[in-house]
Amino acid sequence: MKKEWELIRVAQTLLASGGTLESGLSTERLTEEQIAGAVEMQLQYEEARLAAREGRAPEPQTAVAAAGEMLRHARTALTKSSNLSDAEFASLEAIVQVIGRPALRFVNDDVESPNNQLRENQRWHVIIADTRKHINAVARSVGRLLIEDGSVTADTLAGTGWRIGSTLLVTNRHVALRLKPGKSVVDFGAVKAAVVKVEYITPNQDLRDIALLRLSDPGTTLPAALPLDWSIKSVEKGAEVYVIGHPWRSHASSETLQVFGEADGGKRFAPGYITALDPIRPFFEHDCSTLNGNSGSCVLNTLRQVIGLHFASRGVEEASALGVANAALALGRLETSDLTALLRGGAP
Amino acid sequence: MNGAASYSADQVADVGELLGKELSAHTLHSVGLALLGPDIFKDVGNVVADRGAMAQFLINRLHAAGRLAEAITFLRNEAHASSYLIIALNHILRGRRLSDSAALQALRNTYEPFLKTLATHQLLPKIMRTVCAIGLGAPHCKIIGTGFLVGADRVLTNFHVVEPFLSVKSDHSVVQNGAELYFYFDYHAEPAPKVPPDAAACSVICVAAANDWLIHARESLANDGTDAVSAVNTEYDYALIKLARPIGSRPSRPSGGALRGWLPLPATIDPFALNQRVMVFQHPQGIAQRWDIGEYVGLDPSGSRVRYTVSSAHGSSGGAAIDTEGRVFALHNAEVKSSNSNEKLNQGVRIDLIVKDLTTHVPVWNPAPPVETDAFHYWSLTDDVSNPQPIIGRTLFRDHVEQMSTQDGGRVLVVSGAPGSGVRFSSKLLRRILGIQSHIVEFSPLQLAGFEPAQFLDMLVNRLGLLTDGVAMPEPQATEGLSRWVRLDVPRWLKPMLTVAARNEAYRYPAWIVIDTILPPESLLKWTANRDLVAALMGVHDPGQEFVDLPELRWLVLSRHAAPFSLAEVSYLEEEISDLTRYEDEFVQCMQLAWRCVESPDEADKLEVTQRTLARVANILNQKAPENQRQPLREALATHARLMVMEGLQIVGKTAPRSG
Repeated sequence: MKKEWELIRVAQTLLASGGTLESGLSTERLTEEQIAGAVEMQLQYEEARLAAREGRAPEPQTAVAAAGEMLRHARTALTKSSNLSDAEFASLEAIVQVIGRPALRFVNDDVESPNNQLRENQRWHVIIADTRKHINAVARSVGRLLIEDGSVTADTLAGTGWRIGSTLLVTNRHVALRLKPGKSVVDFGAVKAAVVKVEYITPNQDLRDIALLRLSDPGTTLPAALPLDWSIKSVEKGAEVYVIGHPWRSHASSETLQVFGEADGGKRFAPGYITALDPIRPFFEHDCSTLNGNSGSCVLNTLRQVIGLHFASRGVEEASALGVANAALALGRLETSDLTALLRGGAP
Repeated sequence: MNGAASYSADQVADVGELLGKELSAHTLHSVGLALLGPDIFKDVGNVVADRGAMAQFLINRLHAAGRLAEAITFLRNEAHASSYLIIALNHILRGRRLSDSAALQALRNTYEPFLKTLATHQLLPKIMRTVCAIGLGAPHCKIIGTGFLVGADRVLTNFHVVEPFLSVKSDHSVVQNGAELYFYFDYHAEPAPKVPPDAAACSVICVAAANDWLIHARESLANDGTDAVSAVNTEYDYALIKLARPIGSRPSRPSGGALRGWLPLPATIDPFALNQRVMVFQHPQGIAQRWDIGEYVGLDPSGSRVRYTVSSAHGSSGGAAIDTEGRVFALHNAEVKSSNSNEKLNQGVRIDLIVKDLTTHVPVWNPAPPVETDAFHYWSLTDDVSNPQPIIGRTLFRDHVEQMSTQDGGRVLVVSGAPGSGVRFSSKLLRRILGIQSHIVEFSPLQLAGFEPAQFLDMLVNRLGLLTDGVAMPEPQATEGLSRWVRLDVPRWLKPMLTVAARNEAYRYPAWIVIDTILPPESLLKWTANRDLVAALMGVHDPGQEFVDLPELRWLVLSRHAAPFSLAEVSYLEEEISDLTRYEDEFVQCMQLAWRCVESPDEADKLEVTQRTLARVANILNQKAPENQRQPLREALATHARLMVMEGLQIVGKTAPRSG
């Protein structure tokens, strides 16, 4: 229930602003026409991609029809506080992505910009324009973990991992448990590396869902280790954060929704904000758009330093079942332990 | 010309042709609305797509309505008297055809003049340091816009940027209604500063608004940025704000340097100058300061805003729109939502209208232009006030460096002193004075002794980034002495490279080469070959002897003794720094400048007596210290100055207490 409530809240917040005057405080609401236009444009883009992959001509009318259906479901969803149908949930998620919480692809290792500049998408436009090469550089150190080397499917994609130390990779425990050392690989895009062994993994009863994997060293071509920010001040409610990972989603039940949000395990950049801090445990929640497959993703601050390890996505069943929306382990809130020593020192 | 004037068919045609070439479609639209009202373009049909036809249509309508003279008067009032538009207009009205004068055609600039590299390089820092990000306190607590200094303690921004803290009365006068406004200068890199500011040390300088901060403001305009904008009464969307302290009259950096200054506001602009380039300095989306350059497109329908192709975003409001001469052109305020979706335009409020409004309603608002001076001093090597490196004295050194930046100011500066007296500090001070853009190449004693001359030259060429264009370094001829190679062949090889480099990167020259000859007293520097090479490159020669002049280079020689080698026929300057006699004055000067930079000029004056006393105490304590702990006096004073600044800033809450 909390997941739905969070989604509705985010959608309502994003819908409530816009305007031509260029102060950072915008108070005008987005019109339905603006939203419909943005959704339609996004769906046409997705439909064109799908068509290209399937080797057929694009069918823009499919996107137009899908946009209409999605908006109808979204309107209904916004009148509720819970008990959303699958279609309503997915439609609201799609709206959220289109108007302020996009999950942007990397095409030829270059992050895309949002397809519109509605609401906070304008901010992401500016951020990406300003720091594109830094985002791309960090993304090269994030890879998808495959249970077995080969095609990327729902069965082979275990999750996401990111580089630290000389040959280590950070991911979730529940991701690591699916792997087969010796057979599993991490695919960074430009380079693949085999997972040699699990160097460190928290016990099942440990709330910290984290594992460190040892990779084979294919010469000097492993991507660089990511910088970590251990400052507790970097994990604050309202702080801007970015998630880079490899989301995956099978086709939704509705045929029209198959057009949207085709998450094929490709790398995505999802900006958003920290929405809550767990008062007791070293966790925080965020509203970046994530899916299954994002498990193990890095959560970055505005300087592109890692501040957290994403472990749970909205609408995804997770072993931890913590009942949170998007959740991440906060580095700056971890108590000093063998784990933090490994993360800081990278292990020999 | 008067209202009853009549115009020939040729004159009407030429005026139409002139406006079609010189005014943008936007400006034509605006002029048409201003003179003939909103109905003028209702039956204009496809003419709008053709600027020339649109202009002719407009002029014909004005002529038919007997209002062409009025239009000409309007153009004369708005445009610059020396602009091509007015010159050509006068030409036509004297009965001449637009096409019959080659001289007239020659006046018409096909290009906006190219931006001069050196001038732009000098202009940009002056503008950058006047631009600030504006943050609103509770309940917003975020950076929401941009502003810029127009006086020592005055910032101009948009009304709508600070609107949450303003109230508009029934007579449209504006009063302040809130106090937590923060202005962040030198915000050039992430992370973003906090709103309200915290005590964490960073390079961003935050100044709060004064208690009675609102000097004058005008509301924003309904439908601003659209084609449906209404007529303007006084809706100029600006706010002139008073700061808590006059940051504009302080050195621009915590360690000293040029005064920050402010941007003077011109009383007139040329709103008809087509194709002129506009730069907007801004904080889009509250990120670190950015700027973009684009073209001026024309007026908005109300005639009070200017539109351009410069990029901007939410948060850019209040940014300074500057022309390529460094003059403020507009106060950036909105994205344009045009019916022509192919255009991506933004806009600002005409600065001349804001100035006219301020002059009418605010007595003595217009401050004197900022004082420009080439002489500015630093009190610390670094801008980190929590870890300063004070500079005690060395006024003579700074004066020498300033003098040597001129053509005939001398080529060589010799700084001598006993080991530990601070001679080597001179190279750090040189870097501080010249800044990061200037070339400074340093050669250590080890390199001077260990390098072959060819290695010395290799390093020099590489560090200066000189382009050899494939011309190899000459080698000494077996038939000639090494002396000729050093004195003539090598300088002749370097000369054209230096000439090209200095022309292409004028702001990085003259380049400085530091020759450090200081070794422990018992050691002797053996560097004969390189010494002769250095001397030759300096221009040392016997009277009547041929030599090659390299005016792009300056030399700083660090030595234990004055005149470490013969500098015959070379004008040089000297500084001997072992004797520090006026140490009280030098200590006080450092502290006074420090206090002016980081705290209050008033407080600086009050502390002089205390500072003199402290200087004497520092000297006495140093002399009484055990010999192995005794420092050279200048160093001892610098240590005390550093402690005083750090402690003082903690006391006034500017920095957090240091741990440990």
